[in-house]
Amino acid sequence: MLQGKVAGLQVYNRGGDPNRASTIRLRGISTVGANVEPLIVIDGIIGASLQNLDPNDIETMDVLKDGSAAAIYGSRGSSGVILITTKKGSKKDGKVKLSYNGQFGVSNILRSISVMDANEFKAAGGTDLGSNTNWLEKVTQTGTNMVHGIAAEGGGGNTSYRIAANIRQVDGILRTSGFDQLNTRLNFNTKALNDKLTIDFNTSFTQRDQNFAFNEALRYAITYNPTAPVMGENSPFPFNSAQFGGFFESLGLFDAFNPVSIIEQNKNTGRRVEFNYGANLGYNLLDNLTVNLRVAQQNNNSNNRQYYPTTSHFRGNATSPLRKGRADFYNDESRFKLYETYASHLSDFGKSNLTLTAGYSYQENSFFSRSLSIGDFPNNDIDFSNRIESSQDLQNAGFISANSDASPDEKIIAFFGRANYSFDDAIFVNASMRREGSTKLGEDNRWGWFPAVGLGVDLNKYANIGGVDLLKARIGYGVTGSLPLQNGLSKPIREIENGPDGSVSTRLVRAANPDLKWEEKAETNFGIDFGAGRFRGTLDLYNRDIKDFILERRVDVAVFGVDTRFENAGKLNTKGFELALNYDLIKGNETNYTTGVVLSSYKTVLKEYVIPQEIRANLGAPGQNGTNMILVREGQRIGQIWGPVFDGVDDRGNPRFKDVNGDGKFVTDQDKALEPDADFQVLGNGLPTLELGWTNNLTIGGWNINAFFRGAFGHSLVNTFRAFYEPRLSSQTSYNFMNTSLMIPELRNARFSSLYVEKADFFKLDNLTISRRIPLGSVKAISNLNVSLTAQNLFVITKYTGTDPEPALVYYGSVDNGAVENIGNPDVLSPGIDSRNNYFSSRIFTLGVNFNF
Amino acid sequence: MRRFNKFLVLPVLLLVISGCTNLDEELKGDIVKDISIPGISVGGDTGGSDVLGAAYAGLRNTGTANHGGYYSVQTITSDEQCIAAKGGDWFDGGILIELHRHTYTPGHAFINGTWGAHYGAINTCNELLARTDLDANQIAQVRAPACLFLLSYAGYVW
Repeated sequence: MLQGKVAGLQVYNRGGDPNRASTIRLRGISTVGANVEPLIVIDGIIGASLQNLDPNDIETMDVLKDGSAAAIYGSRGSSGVILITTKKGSKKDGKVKLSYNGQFGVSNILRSISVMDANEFKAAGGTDLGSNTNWLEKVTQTGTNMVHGIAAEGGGGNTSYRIAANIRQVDGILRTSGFDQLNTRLNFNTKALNDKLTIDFNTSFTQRDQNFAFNEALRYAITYNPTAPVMGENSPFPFNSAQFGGFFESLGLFDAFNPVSIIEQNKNTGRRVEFNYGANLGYNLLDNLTVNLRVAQQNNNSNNRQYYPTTSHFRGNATSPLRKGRADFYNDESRFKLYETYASHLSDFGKSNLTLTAGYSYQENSFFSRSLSIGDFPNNDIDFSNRIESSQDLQNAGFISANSDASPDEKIIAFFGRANYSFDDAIFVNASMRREGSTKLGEDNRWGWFPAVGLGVDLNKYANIGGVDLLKARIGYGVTGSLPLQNGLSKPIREIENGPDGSVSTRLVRAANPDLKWEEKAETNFGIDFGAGRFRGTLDLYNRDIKDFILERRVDVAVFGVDTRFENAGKLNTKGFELALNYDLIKGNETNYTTGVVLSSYKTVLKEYVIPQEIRANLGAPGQNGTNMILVREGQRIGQIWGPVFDGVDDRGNPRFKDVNGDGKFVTDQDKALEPDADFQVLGNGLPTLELGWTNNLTIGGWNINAFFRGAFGHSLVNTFRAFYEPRLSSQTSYNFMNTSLMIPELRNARFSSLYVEKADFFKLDNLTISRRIPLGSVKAISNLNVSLTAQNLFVITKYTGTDPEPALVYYGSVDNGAVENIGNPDVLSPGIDSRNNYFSSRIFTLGVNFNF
Repeated sequence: MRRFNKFLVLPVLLLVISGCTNLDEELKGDIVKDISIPGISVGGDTGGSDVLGAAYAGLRNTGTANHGGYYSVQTITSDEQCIAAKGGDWFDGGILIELHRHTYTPGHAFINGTWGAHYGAINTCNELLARTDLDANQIAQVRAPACLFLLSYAGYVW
């Protein structure tokens, strides 16, 4: 939707998992510890969720990048602001206008990871289990997606409304994955009291039934032995199939699960219900004085459930003599309340005018969650997650795991004032000040002052250069605060120890920091808007300084009693530019061709950090624990991939590494990665240096062709599949081997090095849409009939050998042997790692139709 | 009517503005204060008793429990335990081999982790010693073991 269209905005959903939200960044990361996603504002309501919005309901979308523009939104807008206005009703001719929009699409895997087939595997010395299975084919499918949307709008007098309902059904390329979503939205606008009072009310309701399935099935489809049978009855040796629901399993092998069994036996589903409403009242107290009151609320409930029957080897404990089967339940409720009130006063001085605004904002967030994990079910006659009282775990209470958590009422309270002055319709000045407080900070430092100023000049009005239609210069400076995601960081946190005799005591697990204060971001932005004839351009240059970011830090255990607490520490600087150019190549009566390029680049340097340097992002098991891939060092760019340099294979099949510093010693063990004489170097950077979007829009008569190309350059990815499974390890002949063009047949030892760091520059045809307005002639029943065909990801040009060359902006940590990936705590300092738990990217063809009736 | 509206709106606005500036954080799902409840003795050996439970848990963590701590550091460096890298598996960036060859440095995760675990345990003990309700026997129990392990691990650190 937004991907690649706005300079400086990064939207990446690696692989396009339909059940995972995209990672969104504006001008790179704005902070290390706090919330790095931009603030979404829908119809004036801050903090809305994009998942609750159907693209069909969007009227306009604006992105506020400039720190001075975003400053008025306060700390939550610190990472940029995306402003969305939904469609309002039109009251033209008093009739009800109905419109329909429908889509049907199919998707297929775009790129896969090349592994050996059964014959190649046997020839390479793999353990032969007698069958020939293409595991990837067994767990994937042709995905489909269907959309039906209907909207009614109308009104009369001062009143207008729009009601829309959308249904979305998506089946992903991973078998059983997908969701069904119903989304409804109402916008109602009216005026009362002699048109002095404007009332805008909107509400939306979304219900999403999700089938998350298990992305692990894709991971194990890559690594599972291609000669292994799907079903246990085809096992080459005696195998108790019944114990595993008929499926074959490699028992005793670390991190190996039959992928087909994972998705066929287990369930991973959830339902999310979101209900929002917002009301805005505006009253013209005097001709030049307006007061506004806004009230909004968002309620979100999620209910997730996993069920692993007694015969599932994957998380179902099928091999356990005592505890077979498992049911996990999770539910959460979150509530957001917003009250805002402000008054604006306009003074008109003839040639110039001044608008003054002052107001108060109160935001409150609260969250409650509950989870339960229980197992040991009698058998699989029914889905025992519907009848957990039959769990044998109830006799062994210690086996049941139950958790609940409730957040405090997180509050942000702000007082703000703003002045906008314009002179001669050509010089614009704005200044704002915000006094903002948060519950999340230390007692004495909860309140901060955040100023912003901006100046814009329409140079063309004075310079009057021939042929130039538009020449504006803008400069802005703004300071905003940022808040951490978690609560209680300034408080001492303790954990309970239960004694066997019923005694209870606690120990400190995190020290308090009552001085914890606001993280501050100061941003200067300089921009030029330029236009001449058919040409339009915008250039933005910016400099961003972030200080005091909030980070969990190792502290002296002898002083604090525990070796960790949260502190303000570190400085980050980002410099970048964004350029957008548009040119109307052909401008005719019947034929129009417009092309536009969006370019952006930035560089983020860690100026100060809690320690001078550290390595992070563990590669993981099997065999590569204690192997950290990312270097964080003061004074250098973030996202540096760090490791030894591969230099061929010795005669025993071990990798040789380069003596990088030429001192005759080979210091390549991981715990020496930061020693002065270490033979390690920067192997690449996880963040792109240049991102490109290129739009082409051609209209010929009733036909429209839109081609949108997208690329990112300069970034590298660690291909972790290769790092584990490409060397021909004699001890790992029960896992399949990768078979990319970079494979070295002699290599028989897996050790992380430059060999697995690949340049991932790419250029792709992101979206190609051909649409046609169908002439309806004498048909009166419908109007504005439009039919379109869209292809997404038609081609990708890249040298990267993994599934998806898009930058990986965060790392979720290494996960293995069926453990659950923690997506709630992404590491933003460790970009550039293509982990083994990714969804695979797909190519999607969609047929769409819309008309009014 | 018009005048009435004006006078209605202003006080309402003021009321809302002055309504709330309280930002105290009242944590609900976290424990910020020590809780201690004595256990009930039913006879026999029940291990660490009552308020000393956390101290004894610390002793376990700095003693024989968990891979990556005191136990691993003590056994892998001697011949008590041998971890063989099988091809790539259990190689783990060379950190286990380093323990075996005694070529580890302060950057080694196990060494650092053991240090932190010891001091954490000592802190739990110190917090207990700061209380006034321990009897002489309990004080003696808390004092000795954790410090002993640290001394044995790191030498004279005071």
